[in-house]
Amino acid sequence: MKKANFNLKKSLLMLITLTLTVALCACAGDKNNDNEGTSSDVTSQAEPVYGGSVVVGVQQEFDSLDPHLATAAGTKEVLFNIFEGLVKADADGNVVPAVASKYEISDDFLTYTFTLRDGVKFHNGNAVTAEDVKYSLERCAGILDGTPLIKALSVIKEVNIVDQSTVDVVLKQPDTELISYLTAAIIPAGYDEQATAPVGTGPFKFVSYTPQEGLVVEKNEDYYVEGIPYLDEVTFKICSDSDAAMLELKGGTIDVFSHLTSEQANELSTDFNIESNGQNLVQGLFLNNAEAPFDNEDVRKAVNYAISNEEIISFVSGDEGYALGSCMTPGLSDYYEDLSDAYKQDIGKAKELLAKAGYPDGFDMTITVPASYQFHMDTAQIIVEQLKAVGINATIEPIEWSAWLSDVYTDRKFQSTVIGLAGQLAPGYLIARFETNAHNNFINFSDAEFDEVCAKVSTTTDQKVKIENYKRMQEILSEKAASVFIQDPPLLVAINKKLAGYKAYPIYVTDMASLYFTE
Amino acid sequence: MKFYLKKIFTLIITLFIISGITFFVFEIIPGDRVLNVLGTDATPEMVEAMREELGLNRPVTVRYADWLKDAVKGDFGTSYNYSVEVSSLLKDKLPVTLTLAAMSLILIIFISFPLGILWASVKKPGGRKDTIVGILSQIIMSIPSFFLGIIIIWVLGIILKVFAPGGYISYSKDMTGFIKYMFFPAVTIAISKSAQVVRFLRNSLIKEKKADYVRTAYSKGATPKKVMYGHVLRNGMIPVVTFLGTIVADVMAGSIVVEQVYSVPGIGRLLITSISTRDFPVVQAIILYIVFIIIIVNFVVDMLYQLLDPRISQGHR
Repeated sequence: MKKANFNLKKSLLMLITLTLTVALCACAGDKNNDNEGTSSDVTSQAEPVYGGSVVVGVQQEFDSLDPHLATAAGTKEVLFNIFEGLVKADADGNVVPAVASKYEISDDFLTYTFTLRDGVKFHNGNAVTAEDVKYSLERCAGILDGTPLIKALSVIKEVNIVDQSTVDVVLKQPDTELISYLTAAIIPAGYDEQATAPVGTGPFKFVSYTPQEGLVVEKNEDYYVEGIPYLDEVTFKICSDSDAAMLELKGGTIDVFSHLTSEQANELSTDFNIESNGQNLVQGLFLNNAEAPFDNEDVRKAVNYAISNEEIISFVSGDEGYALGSCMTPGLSDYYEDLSDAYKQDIGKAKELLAKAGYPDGFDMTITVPASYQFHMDTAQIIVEQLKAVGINATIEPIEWSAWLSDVYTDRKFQSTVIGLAGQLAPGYLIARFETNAHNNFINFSDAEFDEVCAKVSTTTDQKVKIENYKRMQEILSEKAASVFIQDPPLLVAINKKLAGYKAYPIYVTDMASLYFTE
Repeated sequence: MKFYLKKIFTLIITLFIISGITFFVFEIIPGDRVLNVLGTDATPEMVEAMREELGLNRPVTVRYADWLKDAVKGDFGTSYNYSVEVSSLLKDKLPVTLTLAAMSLILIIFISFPLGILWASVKKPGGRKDTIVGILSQIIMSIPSFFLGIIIIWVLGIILKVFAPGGYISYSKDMTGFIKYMFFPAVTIAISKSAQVVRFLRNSLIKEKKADYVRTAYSKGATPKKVMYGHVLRNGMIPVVTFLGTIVADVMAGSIVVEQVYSVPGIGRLLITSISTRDFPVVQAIILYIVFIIIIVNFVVDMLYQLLDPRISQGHR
């Protein structure tokens, strides 16, 4: 009996060991595909090498591959590489000609005239014609079927083809900021499969998209800029969450990943190049101005005095964020006014204001935060601690992103929320929302002077007056303590050390065209 | 025959009730598909236009009736997220989850049966060896699978570089690469489930070993081996099969956590994404699939009972 038992044990053990060993060996076979030559002494000045493929990790699924229907910032960030408008943003935040080679704006800001660039081809091989431009713009403006796909373009009255390479865009009313919205993609006229097989003019062309896996693009050989792009293939791989992405970065599966927390960036800094830039995002503790107690200006001011931007920035952004005092980011340097010192943390003043407003002992409040945004959750946590010092007892209510959009943003059923508002190149894009009747004025801010200046600003043709008006709008938001504007958080990007040429944009894009391998 | 008809009838009724519940739950929970797509740039006009386009303006009962009418024909509609037919989306993702399920099941059986029998053969149940093994299995059982997954990725993926974390390769591109990548997710599932099966099998075998027929067999001069494989194992298997059944259903329905940790694009991850983006047609189809699997597996377990023990008959056959 003893012997039988022993044999059974032994052979079982052998069997299991054998199975596992075989399986492990089988799996070890493919590990050194892309790990050869890991020398780390590469400088970013190294000579570009053409070719190679790169995997970029992205955190969310794409909402639509049709560039006019895509609204998620994470989708636009990727589509930036496939599509181009008449003009596009460059790394300095300027609007530069793209599909158009130049443009002129009439003195009354009613007609924008574009000259199309010679030799720009769609990814399907066809040359871009004036008809394609007309179709694309009319589609965005809602002239084709009544619903504008891009609201800012609904100001377009008609698009006229002057000759084969000249197009006039005629507006219903003067608009001095329209040019930054004409980055809207130019697509082939009448092509209706953009959602599944997108065709554009950008440096990369679409290859395939597999839900939950990723989007693959390849080099556009016909791109009109000589020598660009360098890479042959880019895969935008969907990672299930940022923890999974961290493991994949360390394991060498992905080469580029943005939107890191400062903690993650620190952890990766030995093996990756970490790039940091502003991202034109206004993060704030937004207070519902129509909801007690934040309908009281003194209470809003008290909250502003209670909170220290610097402390938050040092905790969540590793000291890399820009402190803000109003709803404009330093990236829009012409229009930005630094008001970050308007409410230096002052517990005494905060308590005084609370007493004046009738809350000498503070009050209870709720901060509704989308739970999937760890960054905003962390920020809210620090705010709760800071508010305690003045007697305000805040509770964080985590909420799903979908529910945040419907309950907080659309139905405005909230007391306060921590969120980031993503800006665009147009200076008015973010700040115009605080006009009393704006559909996206989710904090219910209302101020007569603000409304007056806001109404003037988009039709002002004098650049100097315009800048003055925008600065005044920022000041009013600060004076009235519309909310607590915290920071423009740094966009932290981890990049494989073998890659160079990364360009930091002041807007939310990942430009793959300038990236290249150094060996 | 009557037995099968009854099973099929139960299946249909259950599917019908579950589909209704899912439909109305989606009506109640906060969050709105249209707002989810349009995001913070949505204007009221755009919201209205999209509602119209997706047919969300119609009363909920009308929508349910329409959905049901199409579903009966096998048409589950088009995914809001991916603009492709739900059925073709599932057809792509099913092989992933089913492969994972099959691989884990094979591993579970290979690991737990020998170990369970071995453990049940310990001479003194309650002795020192037995207690140590018991504690060990308890520990392994209580490790959450996501944690085990992270540990495996960390040690084997990052430190030892045995595999590339997240380096999932689609089965349509490279079948061997696919199977290789799926091995570690399968191991992760198998380890914690095996610990449960081992314990279950061991308890069941020990109980059987005390039965009268075992003594009879020994007195007839049968060897321990013959007693174990000829009698005890067969009888001890019955409760284990039930338990394996629930595990199979569990794994086939998508090992949500493990798929998430390993970035495996299977049914489980698709379900999570679809719920959070309110992609209703996909959620509905996946939930029905899960219900379907659970009922079918239970049915198969019933059949296996009869094979293992002819005494258990359905009576009305």
